[in-house]
Amino acid sequence: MNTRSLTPSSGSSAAAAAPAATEVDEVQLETTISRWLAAGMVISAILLAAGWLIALVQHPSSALLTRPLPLAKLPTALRQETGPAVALLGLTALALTPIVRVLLTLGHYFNRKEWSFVVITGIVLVTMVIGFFLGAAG
Amino acid sequence: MSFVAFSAWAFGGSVAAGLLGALLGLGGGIIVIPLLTLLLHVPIHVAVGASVISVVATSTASAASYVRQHLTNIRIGMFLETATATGALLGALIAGWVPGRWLFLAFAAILGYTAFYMFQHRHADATPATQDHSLAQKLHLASSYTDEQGQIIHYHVPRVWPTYLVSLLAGGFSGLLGIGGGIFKVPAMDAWMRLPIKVATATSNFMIGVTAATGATVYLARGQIDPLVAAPVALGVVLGARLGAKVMPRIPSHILRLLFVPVLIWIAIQMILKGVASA
Repeated sequence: MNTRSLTPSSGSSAAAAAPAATEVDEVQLETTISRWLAAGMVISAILLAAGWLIALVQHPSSALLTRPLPLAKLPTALRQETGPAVALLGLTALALTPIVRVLLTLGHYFNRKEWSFVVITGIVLVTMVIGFFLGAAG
Repeated sequence: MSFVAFSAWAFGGSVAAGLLGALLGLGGGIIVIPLLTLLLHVPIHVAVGASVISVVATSTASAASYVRQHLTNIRIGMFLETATATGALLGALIAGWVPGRWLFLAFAAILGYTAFYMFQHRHADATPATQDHSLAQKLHLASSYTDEQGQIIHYHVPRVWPTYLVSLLAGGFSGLLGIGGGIFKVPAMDAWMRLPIKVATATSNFMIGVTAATGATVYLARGQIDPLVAAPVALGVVLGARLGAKVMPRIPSHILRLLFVPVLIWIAIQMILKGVASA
């Protein structure tokens, strides 16, 4: 499959890079990640669309009041303002999708005992968690 | 404006923003924020919240296919994410305290830079580097991808740290302004890491998901995101970006880029005026 032609077709790019000895195969991780991202996108899109449509049906003519909704109020909001609350669930699912992607990556490198990437992925994860708690506190 | 009318405008405008963004190689954010603030009179803090969500959505949707096609370099992405996530955290934390006027002015500056970059840069792919930086070697950052002709292109990573610094900065702007910051990262990955432009774009997009999600969790936890503004915007931008990817091959994107330069400058001026006026 990887038959690199001896005579480069373009001619100008004589110094084509050769495969590095350090190149690693990430097919397994790529499959996991792409499936996860696609699933997260579909789930959050459904929730966002549902919340938005519920709000449209319930309050079609009300003037728009920009009312941000904190996550902490989600349980009560689900009963009182279904539309915004369901949309907020969708937003949360969406924001969690890349975060879980980092978790899956961490697990992958841990299984492969690639400690440098366990540390790198760990740093990213810790930063995100700090962000959430500092944000929630501030 | 009634909720229905607002929803229709926000959704339609976001489809257009996503479409244009995909064609121009920009994230939706750079178009969504002016759309919401200038046309729909949404307060800038709410607009930034909606934009950051739309950035997560676009990145997630397109990363799913880029990763499958092996265009994304996951290892480079993870490595640079340590910089972008830290930057985004700092940016999002100070965003609540930065007056709206400064957000408008900072945004105008980034638009100006984008216009300049798009005007100056008509891309021809450089030949990939043949040597790795010592850290790149240690982290196994070199990889390969298959180009349009079905040829496998191997690339190496000759320099690491300048791109790392730019990523930190890009993350900061992302947290502060709710944009993806690809406009900074892609040139940096191209210039110093010597990544093929497709790999640089796919990897930047991959990282943006995490950067923006870091910012988004802060906004969500604080209750700074209005779900009914963010929902139509996120759905619209994703839909627009998908349409954009479909029509892309039939559109001469370098001409579109040049045509878009004056538009960006005009938007930048409007944002400056708005920033100066909001005393």
